[in-house]
Amino acid sequence: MLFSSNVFLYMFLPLCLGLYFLVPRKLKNFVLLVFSLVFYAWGEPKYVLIMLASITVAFITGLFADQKRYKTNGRRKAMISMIIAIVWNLGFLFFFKYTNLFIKTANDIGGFGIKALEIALPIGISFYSFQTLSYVIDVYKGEVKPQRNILNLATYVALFPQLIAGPIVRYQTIEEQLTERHENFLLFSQGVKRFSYGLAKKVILANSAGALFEELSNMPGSELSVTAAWLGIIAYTFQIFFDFSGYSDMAIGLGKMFGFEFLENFEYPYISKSITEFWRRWHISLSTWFRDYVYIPLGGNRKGKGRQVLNIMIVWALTGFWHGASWNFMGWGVYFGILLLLEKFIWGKGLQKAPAVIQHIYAMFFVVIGWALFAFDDTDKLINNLKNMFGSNGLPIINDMTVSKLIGFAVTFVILVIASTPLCKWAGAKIKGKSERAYDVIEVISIPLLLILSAAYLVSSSYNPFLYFRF
Amino acid sequence: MKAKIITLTFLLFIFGFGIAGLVLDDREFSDMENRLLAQSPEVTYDAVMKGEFQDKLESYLSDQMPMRDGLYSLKVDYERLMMKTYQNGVYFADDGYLIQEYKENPMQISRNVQYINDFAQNVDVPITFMLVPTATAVLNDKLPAGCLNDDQMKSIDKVRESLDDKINLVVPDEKLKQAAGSEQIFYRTDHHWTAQGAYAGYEALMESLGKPKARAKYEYDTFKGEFYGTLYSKAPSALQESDSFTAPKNKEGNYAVSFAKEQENPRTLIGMYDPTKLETKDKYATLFGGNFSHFTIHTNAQNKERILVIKDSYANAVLPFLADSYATIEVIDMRYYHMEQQTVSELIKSEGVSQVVLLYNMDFFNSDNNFLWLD
Repeated sequence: MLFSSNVFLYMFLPLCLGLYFLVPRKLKNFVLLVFSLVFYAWGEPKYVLIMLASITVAFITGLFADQKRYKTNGRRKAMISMIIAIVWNLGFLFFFKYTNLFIKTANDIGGFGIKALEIALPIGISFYSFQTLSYVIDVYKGEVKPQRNILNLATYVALFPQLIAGPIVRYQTIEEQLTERHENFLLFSQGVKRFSYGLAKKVILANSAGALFEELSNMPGSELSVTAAWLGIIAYTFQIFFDFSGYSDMAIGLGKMFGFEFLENFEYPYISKSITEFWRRWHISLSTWFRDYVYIPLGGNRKGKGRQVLNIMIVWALTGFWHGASWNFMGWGVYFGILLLLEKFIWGKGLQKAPAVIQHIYAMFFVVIGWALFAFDDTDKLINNLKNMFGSNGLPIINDMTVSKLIGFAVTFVILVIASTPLCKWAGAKIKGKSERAYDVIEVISIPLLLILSAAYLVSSSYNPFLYFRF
Repeated sequence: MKAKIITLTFLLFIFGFGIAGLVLDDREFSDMENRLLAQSPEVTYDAVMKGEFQDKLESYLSDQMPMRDGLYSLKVDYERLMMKTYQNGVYFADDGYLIQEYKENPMQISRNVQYINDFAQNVDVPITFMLVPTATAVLNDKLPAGCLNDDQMKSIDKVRESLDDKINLVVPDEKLKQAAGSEQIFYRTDHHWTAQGAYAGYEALMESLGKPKARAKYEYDTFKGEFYGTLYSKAPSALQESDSFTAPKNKEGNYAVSFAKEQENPRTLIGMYDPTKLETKDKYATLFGGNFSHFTIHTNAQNKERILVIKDSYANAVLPFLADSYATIEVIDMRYYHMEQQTVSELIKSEGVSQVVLLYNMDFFNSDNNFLWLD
């Protein structure tokens, strides 16, 4: 189920909230779990079993990974439990997500003619397998106590706000909240605010940017221009940010409604002055996960420069590959790995001396090119698109079609740019400083406005009048 | 306090729409969208396991959403506020006009011309083809900057080049442009022309047929009731000015319409008009009650020639004028005249038709695929 669907907004959420706040404390996690399973099963009912299996494995291996339970020789048994958890989670992830890619690649190279398996990717498996994995590893390292109630652990893993698109909530973040959390009006209203902003980001902003990208990227070369090629990929740049961060906002907001506090996942990534900074602001829960569970265990920067370079490249190749079963994602990760190395060892210091504007342009240029690598999983299409952008396909700089789009989307782009920066937050703080009351009024009014407008956009996707029609 | 207000607003939003959706009666048909709406889906084990139930439930909730039309119009208004000039195939033009996008479909055009040429081979009476440019071409000076329409006049040129010499092509663009100076010739909110526009078409047609006009001047009835047409349905907006439906008035005229198929007869016609349609959304359907496969108009006109009009809905507004020029008019709509007892050419012979008129607008000719039934 998607947050930005009518079923979720007007059926699932009212029922879930209603029941959750009616039942006594002891049953609250159970209600959340049941609704989370329904939420998960909505798209593909049978994959619930896989998730339940993963939860069970995490629960058992978690218990055994706790070294303190053993008097002697505990380290080994705990280690074995952890390895089982790693093999299980990565095994499932690899099997479901990458098997067909490997089969296809092997066929392409060796012509083996192996049949692709009929498997669909279970939704959210990339997110929840990382969560269960980090839970067992944290238990092994003694950073958290194992959860002795499988209901609580299942609630954590399946928790619907963060289940299918993150953020990757670490067990340690909500360990205590699982059993002791305090829902209240303040937290709930913060959640509402966050959720409404996220919904509007996704439904109003991301979708309109996405429609422009979709239209331009499917246009035949004869109708395109260099400016249009850039416009398309810039539209995608906005689409992916508002889509993804909107989803994180909704997740964080929903969490708050139920009394959970997740960590932030995006911090205005497009105001970065370097790629290094960009990755500190973009999908924070993922990059810190890879830092803590891959980069540091590999030795990080403690084993010499050569090893550090290797570690960084491994981490970024994997980070890229995590995003999808296609080699272009790995390429996208490697691209950022190289840029990060260059900033670390070659031009990072020089860059900081450049005027701020240059730093922003530099960072966004490489981010936008990165999104081109990300957006096209077909290499021919990617190369063609890059050629369009850099004028080597003989396209005109600009044409009527492009002007038409520029006029039509001018205001939308201004809004997209403003919403990518902390400008609104900053203006809000200014207003609050002058008059707390004015700020409150704006906030109280903006939320229903955004909700209604989002509802209007949701309805409009199915609005489809027929001109010629009879009976 | 603030926290409580925000919380309450949100609960009101999700529970409000949720409960209202449950309580309010489901609509079967949307006048606004001119289509059947999704109905409550059946829950079966199979449908749930395949995810079909889930998909259907989503379309059901969306189609039956309380205030659906109002919400859609809110979205359009918001986009207009964002200075977008295009919505769902419609441009927001000057003077409150909604103008339909035109994208040439060369394949369909050449196919349709071919069907008409083939048809002309089977017919011994003269054929005149009036091809009407729509508001997209005639009112193009009202279109906003940055429109990406194809040129209808170029499409018409293509038709002219490949049309059989036997067929006499009439394009009323000059007459329409002239009339546009002093009158409203297209509806603002509908893809049709007004009675005044159709009169300009009628003038061009009669000139080309070499016949005098029946009357030098017409008066028009303007009917009460706000008319929001098909283009409004595509891009509804609270800011939109409505149209009023008009029809020509001739006190000396005497008209009777008989329908070839009993089941098609609307039975509510008074003369050529169906006043019950004035109460509905599609007020243009007041003309003959809409579109039907075959009907005949008998009038007290002086000229006793029988003519056949093969047409789209644009012709419905011209027929009231033609009815004062010809005593018997056979009217056929190829969208519905399929596999009938007589082919069109057989009907021409059996009914003693002495003139065939094809009457279509360019947008329709560019997209319709029912010309293949023309035989």
